[in-house]
Amino acid sequence: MLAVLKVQLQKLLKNPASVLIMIGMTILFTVMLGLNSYGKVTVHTYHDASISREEAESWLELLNKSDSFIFSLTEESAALDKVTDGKAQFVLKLIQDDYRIIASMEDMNTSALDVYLRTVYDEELKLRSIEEQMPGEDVRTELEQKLAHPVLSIHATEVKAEGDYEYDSRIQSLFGFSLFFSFYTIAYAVNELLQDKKNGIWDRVILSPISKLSMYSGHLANSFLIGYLQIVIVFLLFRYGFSFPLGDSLATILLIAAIYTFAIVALGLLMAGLVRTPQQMSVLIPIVAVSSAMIGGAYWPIEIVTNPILLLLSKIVPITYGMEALKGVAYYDYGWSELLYPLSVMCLFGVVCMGIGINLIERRAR
Amino acid sequence: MGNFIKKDILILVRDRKELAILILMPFILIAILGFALGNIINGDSVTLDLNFALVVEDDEASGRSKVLEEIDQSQLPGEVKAQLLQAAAEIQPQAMLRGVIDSEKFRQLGSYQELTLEEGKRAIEQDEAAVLLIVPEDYTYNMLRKMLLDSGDGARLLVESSSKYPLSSGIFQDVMESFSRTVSYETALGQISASKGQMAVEWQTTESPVHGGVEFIPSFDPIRSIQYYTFGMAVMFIMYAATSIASRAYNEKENVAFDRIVIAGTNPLAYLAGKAISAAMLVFLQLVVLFGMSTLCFGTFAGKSLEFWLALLLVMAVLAICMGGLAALLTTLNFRAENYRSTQIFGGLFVTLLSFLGGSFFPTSAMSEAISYLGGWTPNGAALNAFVQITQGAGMERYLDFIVRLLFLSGSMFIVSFWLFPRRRMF
Repeated sequence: MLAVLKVQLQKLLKNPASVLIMIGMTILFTVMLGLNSYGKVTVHTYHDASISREEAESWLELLNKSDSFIFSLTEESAALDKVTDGKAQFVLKLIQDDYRIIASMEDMNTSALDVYLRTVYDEELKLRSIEEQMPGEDVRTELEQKLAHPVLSIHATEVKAEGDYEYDSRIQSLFGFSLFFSFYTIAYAVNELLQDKKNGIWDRVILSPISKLSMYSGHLANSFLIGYLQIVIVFLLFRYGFSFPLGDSLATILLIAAIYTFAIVALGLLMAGLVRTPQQMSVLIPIVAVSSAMIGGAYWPIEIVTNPILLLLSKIVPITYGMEALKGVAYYDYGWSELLYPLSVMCLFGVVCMGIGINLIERRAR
Repeated sequence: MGNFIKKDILILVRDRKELAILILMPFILIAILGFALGNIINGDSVTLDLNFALVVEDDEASGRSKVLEEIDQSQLPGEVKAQLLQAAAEIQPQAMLRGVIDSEKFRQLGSYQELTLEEGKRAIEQDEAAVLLIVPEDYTYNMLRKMLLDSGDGARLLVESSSKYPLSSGIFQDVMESFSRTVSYETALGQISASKGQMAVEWQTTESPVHGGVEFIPSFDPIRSIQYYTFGMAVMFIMYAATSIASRAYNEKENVAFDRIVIAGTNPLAYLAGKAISAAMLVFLQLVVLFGMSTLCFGTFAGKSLEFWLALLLVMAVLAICMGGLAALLTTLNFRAENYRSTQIFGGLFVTLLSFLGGSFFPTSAMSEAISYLGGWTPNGAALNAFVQITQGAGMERYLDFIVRLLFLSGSMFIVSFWLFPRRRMF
């Protein structure tokens, strides 16, 4: 087994580009999307003839107190062009004491924007009407002072969570994309097994005193090591290089990654059993990777999915459990009792897939 | 060349498994994304199925009588006192809260049951409730006291959420925060005007004069999420079709079929052209089947005009040509490198990257301008933009730019691949 493993690892050392590219892509996507969702959404704003430029600017000043939107004033035609060209999904039109969102497509942001604008407008218009009734009074300052001690406040606590944490979109991106891109590395490594079979190397080795078992275990150990190495490098890089808060227990994170890697190696073997040639396998890999990443919540948090069919589907892809366990540790300091379920599902998944996969490959060989 | 195309088609048809994956998989994903994510992206029809427990520890009657007593004993002038007493008897702090959580709009988010504190804690531990809303002791007292006498720290509501449902408890908190903000804001305004003798203290919900809302651009059809994802997934999976053709081509090089073809005296470029054309045909077929099935099963493009379909066909054809160019390019790279790693890397990585940039997963307008610009120059992104424009009912002048980009991309890919393709046999 060790000899087989050594050969495979030497192949990797001779040609490390593919793993390096995968690591690079993980970093690129994590940075690109993790940081992107942190940014504010720019809302191009224009006003019609019913209000003056000054009034529009004063509204903008109020609106720009938002945490999630930036409002910038442009000309009507420029703003509308943005929507029709698809460069912006919506723009804002200010009219006398009111507003309209001009959109080309419904989405999450338009309704969030509408809620925000409605609140600001409601409050401001009420304030203005009071100001009109009481000329000469500084209602605005007085109001702010009063709101510093509100009549009603909400005190929110999280049950189970120890200590404060921020729901961090960077963590979602990091875990999601590391698991997603490691899928490729692992599955392509498993594909080397098919490649060996096709080249006849497999048969020649089997004829030698090396057993079939050590051939399988060498190949699978190689796939596991490459995939695991990739995940570990990425995690360590972001943990220590970019100080991502990965929770207190790095060892647990690494254990989860190992079990996930095992499950994916097994899944790769099952896929190898289902196809005939390495080429077919290389067509199948990205399709399975992308689909299961979508279903299992690697691209976006699974929490936003409510469709029962999709949730049911998510139960059969290992990436769901990997994400659940990793996020659990990073966000909520999951203990063993909470980790037991996702980890044992991944183990079971791995064992079953590996069994079926080897069976299929052997049957095909006959 | 005709023979090559015929051969490629025969090989494709024989391998039904792969053909099925290339055509059915995107269809499944369209269904998933269009329906599952569509709800969220459309925003208004979110059903969270949030289960929460309401725990009322507050005794409204005793709180009220305590405040009434305090007002009675205060040093205020009689007239004000009478007004305050009346207000204290009328304001219903608990009913205000119930008004929110019993409202039609809130019911779409979830339902609640009233429990004791102990039961509530147990419910959250046993995962029967996601959020615990606690109305603490002296809620009524603190609120009325702060509202009417402007003394004390004001009332508090406690929201305890289970860490298992960060998203739904986040939304719940947002709703509660906005409720408390409204109450505090209205009260503060009321107090200010009352202190100047303008009107009596009164907590009121007046109908908002703000109309607001979302308007869609006139003469533009808003694009629905199922339509968007039909396009998004289609332009992603046609790239897999192109990689599939290129990887088959390398197969033919490996089993020396290609060398035999060359020895037979055929121009290798005819072979390459055959690959490009069969890839284009496969892609066109894929697009027809995907758009057709999506319309039949989900009514995605039902009732669209003839002009829409013609414009769609035009872009589909240009896109198919572009994918032919991509298949030719990948075939050339594989032949040059004498391995099929370029299709592997392309299929594994670049398709994902291009799909993100091009907006197959979520619209690029939600991302930064640089990404959105880059995305417009990817073949899938340009085609997606053109499809979206056509669906919105835009005229040719709006998407001509994208067609030109696609032609430019196909042209450059064809030139590079024909230029680099090995003319002689290589051993």
